[in-house]
Amino acid sequence: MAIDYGWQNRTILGYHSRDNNSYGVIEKELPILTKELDAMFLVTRNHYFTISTPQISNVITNSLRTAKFENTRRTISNALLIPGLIVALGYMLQFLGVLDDILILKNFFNSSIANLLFGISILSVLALWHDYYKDRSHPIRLPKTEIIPQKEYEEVKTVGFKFNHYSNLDAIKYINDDTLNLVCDNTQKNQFSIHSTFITLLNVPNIKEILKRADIQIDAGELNENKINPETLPTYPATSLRSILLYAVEEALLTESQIVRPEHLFLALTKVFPTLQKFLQANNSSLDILREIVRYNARLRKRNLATNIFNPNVAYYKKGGIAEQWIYGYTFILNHFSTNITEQIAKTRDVFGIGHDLEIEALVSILGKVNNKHALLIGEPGTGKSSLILGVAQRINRGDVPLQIKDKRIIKLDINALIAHASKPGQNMEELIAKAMNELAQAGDVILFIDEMQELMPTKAQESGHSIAGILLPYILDSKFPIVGTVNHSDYKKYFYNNESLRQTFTNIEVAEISLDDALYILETKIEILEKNFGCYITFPALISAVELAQRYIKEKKLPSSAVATIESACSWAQANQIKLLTSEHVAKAISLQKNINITPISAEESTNLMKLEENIKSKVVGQDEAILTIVDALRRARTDIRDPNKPIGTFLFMGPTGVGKTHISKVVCEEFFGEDKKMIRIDMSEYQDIKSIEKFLGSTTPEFGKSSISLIDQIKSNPYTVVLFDEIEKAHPQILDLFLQIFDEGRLTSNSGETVDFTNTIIICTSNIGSLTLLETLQQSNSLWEEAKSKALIELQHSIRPELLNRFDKVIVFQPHSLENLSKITILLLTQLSKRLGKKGYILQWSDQIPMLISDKSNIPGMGARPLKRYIQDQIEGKIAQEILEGNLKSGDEISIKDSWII
Amino acid sequence: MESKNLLLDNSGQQLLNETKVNSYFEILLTFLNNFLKWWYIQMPIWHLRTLKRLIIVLDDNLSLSLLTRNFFLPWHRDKNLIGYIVGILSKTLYLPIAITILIIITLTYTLFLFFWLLLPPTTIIFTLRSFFV
Repeated sequence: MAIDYGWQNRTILGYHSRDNNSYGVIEKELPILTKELDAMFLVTRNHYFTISTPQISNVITNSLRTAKFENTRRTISNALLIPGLIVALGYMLQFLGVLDDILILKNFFNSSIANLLFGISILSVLALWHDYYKDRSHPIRLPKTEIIPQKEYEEVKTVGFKFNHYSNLDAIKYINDDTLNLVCDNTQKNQFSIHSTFITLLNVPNIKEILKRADIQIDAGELNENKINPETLPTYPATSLRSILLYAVEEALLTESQIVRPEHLFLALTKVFPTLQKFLQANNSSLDILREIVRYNARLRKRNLATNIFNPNVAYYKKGGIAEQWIYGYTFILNHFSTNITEQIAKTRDVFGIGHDLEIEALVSILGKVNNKHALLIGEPGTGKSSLILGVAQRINRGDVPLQIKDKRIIKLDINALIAHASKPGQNMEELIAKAMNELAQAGDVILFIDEMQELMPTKAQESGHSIAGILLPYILDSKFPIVGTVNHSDYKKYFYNNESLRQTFTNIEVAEISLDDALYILETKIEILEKNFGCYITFPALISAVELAQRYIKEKKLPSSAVATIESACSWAQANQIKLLTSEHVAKAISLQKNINITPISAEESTNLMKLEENIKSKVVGQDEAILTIVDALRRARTDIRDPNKPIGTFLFMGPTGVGKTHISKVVCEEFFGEDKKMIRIDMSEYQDIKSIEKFLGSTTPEFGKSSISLIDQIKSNPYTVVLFDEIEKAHPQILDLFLQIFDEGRLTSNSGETVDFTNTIIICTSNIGSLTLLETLQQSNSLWEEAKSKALIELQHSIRPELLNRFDKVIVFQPHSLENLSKITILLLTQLSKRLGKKGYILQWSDQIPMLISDKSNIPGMGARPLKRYIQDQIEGKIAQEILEGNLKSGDEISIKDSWII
Repeated sequence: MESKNLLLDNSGQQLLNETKVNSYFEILLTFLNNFLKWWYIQMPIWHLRTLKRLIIVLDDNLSLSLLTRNFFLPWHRDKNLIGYIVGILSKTLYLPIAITILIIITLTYTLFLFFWLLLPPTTIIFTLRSFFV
């Protein structure tokens, strides 16, 4: 799932042609209008922005005529500061009587010249102050853009613009002086040069910073390479500025900026000119990334402004003041095991509850009710349940809540601290809780927050080994003060669902996983603190990778928690490796190391290995070329990341008689792709013949204390990057086989306790012996062909397994029974393995060319595959060697030659 | 569809090369005009808004309106006679002190605002006075 940055449906660009008095919507191609009779306008939900030619004309001429005057005035003002300071110093010395003996100086500082110099320099200071203010503050700010409802959007496209619905705004007023000066500097003889503007923009400090954040390095050579020259970025008549500046205004609106700055002009040029977009692509970047950085800067600017409590342009959060405690009720006992969240939040600059606006709204309205004002936040770990309550605390501090919860404080109950406090000598748990609850009821201004509320449930408390539940729960059910609790889905199902009184007392609020763009926003709020902590510079591609990879590979946690953990581990890894600039590759590397999987871009060496994968597997597996080729294709697709990320890497059904290598090939694939062969999960489906065994598959609905059976769910949770082999699936109960539909289609499986486990990073291999007899019988007939035998076996398969399941396998592969020649090759492989084992003990194993064929011929039992071969080598060869070693006939370094006589 | 020609109601679409370059005196006058507007209109408004914010911050930090709103609430919500007496008494003693602090700081800022308004003419008068006195 890609990040939706939310640029869509916020603005509409339109044009008007006076030639035929027609209006239209600009959609795909962005024009630069130069004809005076054509005009462009920008529409938002409530406004429309225009720029006229006279406005452009005035800006350019004003710039030309005032630039010289302003520069001279500023130089004179600066120069006058020096005599002003000297005179001020003189006045001070005179006042102190130091100049009484130096008559010349005394007379000078008493003269009207000194007074004149001093007066003029004060006026210069005022003028410079005015300039400074004018440069850094822009009197008019852009309004916030709202999303244009789809209906209105479609209406504009089909019916046209209803101008009386919007108020007209002069776009030129929202463009700051730096941007206008930059535009004027690049307009010569009424011709506006895009190329020179772009080059000038590249040297603007803010844009340099943006490019660094985007991990884009620019030098002259690169510009030439990407064909960024006056031909691709041409010169237009100055009337084109109307379009270009409107595009810049649009960028400012989209990036939540309040005025149009040079960076918005930079974005506008990138948006309009394909050469610049290609240039970004060549640098693994995009307009989206640049926009997101500009939006981040705008948000950061607002947050930094908010630090000045005396700035009337930013919101002020009331903190209560020095006498706030006077009106609070006593909570002396409760204070020992609780924290005041509202107080804590007032001290931080962080933003909480991002992506949970609707949930916060719902919680605030529940807390404001007269009855039933308890809420239970239900969500998977890491979805931001605690952040949500902090968001409410922030709103209380801001005063943005109904009267019923104004001036209330949110107190978080720390269950562990309560248990610890109660276990102190002289403390009684029951009495302590009774007093604390009484305090809360008396105080009347508290919202009690209990994180991980399942800890209070009797069953869970028994598991955790404390006795708090039975005591606290009745108070909670009977409380007059609002309580907010959090619990995850599986615990809700286990401990809350069957408790009618609890279900009646609490109103449930589902806390869903936030979107990728909200998760990115949360990471953005952490950039400053992470950079300070880890001493590295975090680029935006790194942040975006952290969000995308966390969502894809860290399934045990949800966003935003998984993304925060990912970026933190990447920063930590970067610090350990003395990396100063954190890029997307570093994030991928950190996840690869953490998860022991390979998700970094493919290196040249790895590329060669992937190309040789087929060869490598074939060196370990004899025959079965079709199966090898199919699997190798799936693995290549997976590594190059072009597969469907919402499905398993591959789902295969291997059919064939016993001993043909179905399990062996699975092990080899696991070894080749995931690194270690021990990682393969093997499920014997003959254990799932009964429907009751579904619990073993999906985990138990009611966990029994002390019971520790490991379900498939548990195995996948602890090892989500592996080959899962379901052996002999035809033996499983059909209802269990139905579960495979969800795994194959959606790449996930929901356990009995409501947990969802992810199969998108697994290769699923099912084996079946269906049709084995048919295969063997058909092949034993002298005139039959392999294809004919295969068809018969497949027909038999279709009769045994439901078509909807069969249809969902990527490929059904029928394994051929081994020929004598193949068995001989397998013998060589097995003897080589034995030779290696003996080599470690210092013995050298040798055999003649005819030995493998002799062994395979002797051991072959038709229909039993390679298994008898293994047993034969074990019994005849290994047995003989062991005997020789025990009898002392062999010493370390001796050569062992397999004799023909050993093969009986 | 309404097609009110709002975009082009600025009918004099002059060409770019027909603009006039004004005299430096005119530019100086424009600068003075801008400066005076900033000094006597924009900045006083800003200072008044800052003063308002200052009062809000002081009110919050001194808990003035919070205590006034809850004047009759007992001390730490301890609802007994002593709680009520202590609560009302402490607020009666504290509030005048807090209000005095608020008034002093507000007056100081107002004085600064006056100083701001008088600074340019005072400087000019000071400069000119030395030539005539």
